[in-house]
Amino acid sequence: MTAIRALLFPVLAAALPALAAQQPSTSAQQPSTLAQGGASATGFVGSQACKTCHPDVWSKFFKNPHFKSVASGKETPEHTGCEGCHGPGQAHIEAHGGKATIIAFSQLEPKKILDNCLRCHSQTLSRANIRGSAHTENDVVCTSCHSIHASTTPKFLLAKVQSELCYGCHADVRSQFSMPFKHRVNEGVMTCSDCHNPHGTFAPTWGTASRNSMVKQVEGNEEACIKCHAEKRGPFVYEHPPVRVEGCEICHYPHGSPNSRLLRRPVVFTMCLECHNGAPGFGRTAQGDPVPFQFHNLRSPLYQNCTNCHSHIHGSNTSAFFLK
Amino acid sequence: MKTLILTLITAAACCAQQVVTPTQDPVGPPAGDNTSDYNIVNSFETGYRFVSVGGDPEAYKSQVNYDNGVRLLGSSFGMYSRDGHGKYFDELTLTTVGLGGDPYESATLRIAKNNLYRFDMTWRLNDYYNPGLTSAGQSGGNFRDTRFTSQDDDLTLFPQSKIKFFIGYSRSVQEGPEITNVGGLFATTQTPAVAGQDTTGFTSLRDATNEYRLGNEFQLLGVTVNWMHGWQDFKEDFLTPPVASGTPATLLTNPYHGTSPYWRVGLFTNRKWFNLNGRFTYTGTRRAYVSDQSPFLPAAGPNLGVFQVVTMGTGNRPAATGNLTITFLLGPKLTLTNSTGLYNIRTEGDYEFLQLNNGTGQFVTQDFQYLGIRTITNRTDLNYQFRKWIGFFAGYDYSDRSIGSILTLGAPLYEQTNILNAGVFGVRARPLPALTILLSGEVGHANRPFAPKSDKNYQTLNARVQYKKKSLMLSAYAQTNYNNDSISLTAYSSHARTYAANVSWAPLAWLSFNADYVKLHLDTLGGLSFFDSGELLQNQYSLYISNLHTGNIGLRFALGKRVDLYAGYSHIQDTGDGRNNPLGTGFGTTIPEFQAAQTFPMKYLSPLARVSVQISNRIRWNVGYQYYGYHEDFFTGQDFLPDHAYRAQTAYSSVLWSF
Repeated sequence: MTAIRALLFPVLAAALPALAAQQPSTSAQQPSTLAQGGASATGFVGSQACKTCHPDVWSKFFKNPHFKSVASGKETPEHTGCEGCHGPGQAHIEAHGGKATIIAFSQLEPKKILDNCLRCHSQTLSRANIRGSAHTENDVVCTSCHSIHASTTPKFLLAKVQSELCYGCHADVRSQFSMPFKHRVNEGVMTCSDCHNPHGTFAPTWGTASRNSMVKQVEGNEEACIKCHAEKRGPFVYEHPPVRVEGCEICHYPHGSPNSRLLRRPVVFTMCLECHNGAPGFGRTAQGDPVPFQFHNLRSPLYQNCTNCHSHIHGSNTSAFFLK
Repeated sequence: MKTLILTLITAAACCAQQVVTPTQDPVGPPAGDNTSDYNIVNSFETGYRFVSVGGDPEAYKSQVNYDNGVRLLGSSFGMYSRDGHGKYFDELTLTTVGLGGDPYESATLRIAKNNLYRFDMTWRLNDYYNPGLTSAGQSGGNFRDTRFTSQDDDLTLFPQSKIKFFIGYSRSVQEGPEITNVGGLFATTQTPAVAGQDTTGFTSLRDATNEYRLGNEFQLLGVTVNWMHGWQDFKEDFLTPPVASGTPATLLTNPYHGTSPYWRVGLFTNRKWFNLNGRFTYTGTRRAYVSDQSPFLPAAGPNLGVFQVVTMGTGNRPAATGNLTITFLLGPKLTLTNSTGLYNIRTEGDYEFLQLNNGTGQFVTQDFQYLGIRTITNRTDLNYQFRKWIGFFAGYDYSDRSIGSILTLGAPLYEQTNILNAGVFGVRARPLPALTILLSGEVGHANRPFAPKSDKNYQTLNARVQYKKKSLMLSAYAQTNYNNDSISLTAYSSHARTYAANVSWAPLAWLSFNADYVKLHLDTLGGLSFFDSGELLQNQYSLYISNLHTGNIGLRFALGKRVDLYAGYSHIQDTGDGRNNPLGTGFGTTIPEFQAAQTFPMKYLSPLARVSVQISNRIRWNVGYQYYGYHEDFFTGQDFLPDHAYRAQTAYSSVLWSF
């Protein structure tokens, strides 16, 4: 069955354009008839003028999301087509080209690039924090990740596959996703932006003075982990308080780990006992996180993997000891 | 055209990917094909995957899990209207990975018509063995798959207008094994004396989540308002009743339902001299739980024989949160940002969690343990661009977290407050156009950490240097993160140091190279108290040391115009604390089991190679090989952790084609 699915899919996909071709086009309009207009008093000449010298860009520009501004026909010249980003083209044409006579992004300071893009792209909730994001503050701006005219991805005009973009600067994160146990980013199931917003986020509300790691907030401003791991959300009759108070990272590495279940320690009991040592001042009543009962002979293999018995360690509805 | 092809090749070449498939090389005409009013770009990679595993197959399944079979290894399909006025859609893109039996499958779909709508769908499947649930006498695996599927659907109406509408639906299902305990019916009264009631057993669970979203965005008086109302429903059930040895008559059902209706409002505006944005949420999570046990456990209760226990009740956790950030643009060189966050949740129930024992007629009320957390954070950051090439920043964090607990019904509320003060500082420099330098640090102190592992006296230092010119990028990164939470009984201190270096170079269109090396060092001193054969040992400690070295290297080059080769290697190695055997000279408590648990030397390596041959403009033939080798140096043969080492040879042969 799986083999049939694998073979059937491209056949169906191949049939799709044939079906589309049968639809009569009532609004077919060639790009050459769009965005017309001669030189204006402000120096805007229209995208058609750019086509003459930049046919390679124009020939595929209809696939670019920015082509919407051309197709619309309703946008003002400073928000339309080539000049929407590169500014008025009249001086550029009169000078027979040159980067000094037009807005050339390769010549712009990073902050100017951001300003230019945000003229249109600022009014979106997911980019509300972009100016204060760590990326912007470190001069990682739009064109650092997006390739407007030579994107290799079908969505978002990314310059590379998303994970490779991120790994380019975050080599330590690449190493974490290379671990034996990891979230499947390299395998293509997940992407960095499933948990992070590279355009900036609010400071995590669930932590104290937590530095902004651009971690997305899911409903209730909870950690991004909860979106997939909904069974850990609770509420439970018996909550394991560190899960709520400190978050998942107190026991798990979110990217990858040499230890199973992304745990911070290779053997479970050492991780549990680092808190459950009875030291006063900690825990819900400051009496310390309790030491395991006397029958827990930690020399016995039976008791060395705590979650064998305390299987509902994230919270339980029937057992104060998270047994079930 | 030549530029485009070179760009595509170069972009693909930079990918030092960790899995050998799908093939990254382009196929078909880059400009696509025109059909009627649409342009079509597509590629499909279909082939056969070969796998051979030696050693522990369950460890392989929990870490890699690829299997033999025919696959649609990857595909990309795009239709674009050539004039932006398609009848039903202007853009249709569909990409897939691994369909047809791979453990990691995904598909994304976008259909959009300019000005009218945009629909995005993401579907994924993650299939793996849950590892690490070991117990005495078991071989270490769960024997069952865990399978997670999810799908997100989002429809935006009028995506380019100032008034947008959002409709969304998400569904995720997870099916897989879980260890649970059978027996031990009176959990709240359980004491060590009767702890033997519980018997560990495997069961299979099914978790299903459905989320519905409805929202809108509009502008009012120059402020963009974005609101969303959603409902997330959750349901968990046993697929199979847990079965434990000695309890064949046990029947246990465990339906667990919940709903989390939520509201979210976002406000933001950008003005000439300030930016303001906020996000506020209210979530009213509610969970209802019923547990029905009909066991035959002669030793499990005061009465022998068959009896039934029903446990039921509801729990609520309303959560109100908010973020508000205002940035003052105090001239071209100076910005001041202040952020305030509020997090207020209560985990409480209706105190009607009842446990009914039909056998005895006994009622037991389970106390819902109240847990309330209220956190207020405030942060102020100052950025000063001293010169065009150098800028400084500093900030101050203040957090006040109050935690309230009631452990038993009628007990007084116990409150504790943790106040954290932290300062950050740093410098950003660009002495050359291609060279960026970042130095930063943070020092913080919390007066009342919740757990011994929590931040108390901590400091971080970061340094990052990056040189990027044309196709060459060199970068280096170092970070230290120290936390010291000393207490009188014992101690906890953690020292983490990370060093990373990366080089990426594509000097020619047919040649590119990428390599990185990272060292992650961690040493953690933790105080322990535990029972050893009935004797309480206090003031013990463990010193966990990890020295994790990771390296990735990738080289891609083309032979002539038709053949592309890619070779890569990934090496992960934890050298531990330097000793030669698990019971060798370590630190801390001298009990062998603890000695062995304080370091975890292991190796995980994966070389890979791929050849892609262009048969024609629309067809490529690919063949690839990837090896996975995993080895734990110390735990092999120990009774509490079996040998998880494995060696896996994976390969594939595929055809990449475009119609």
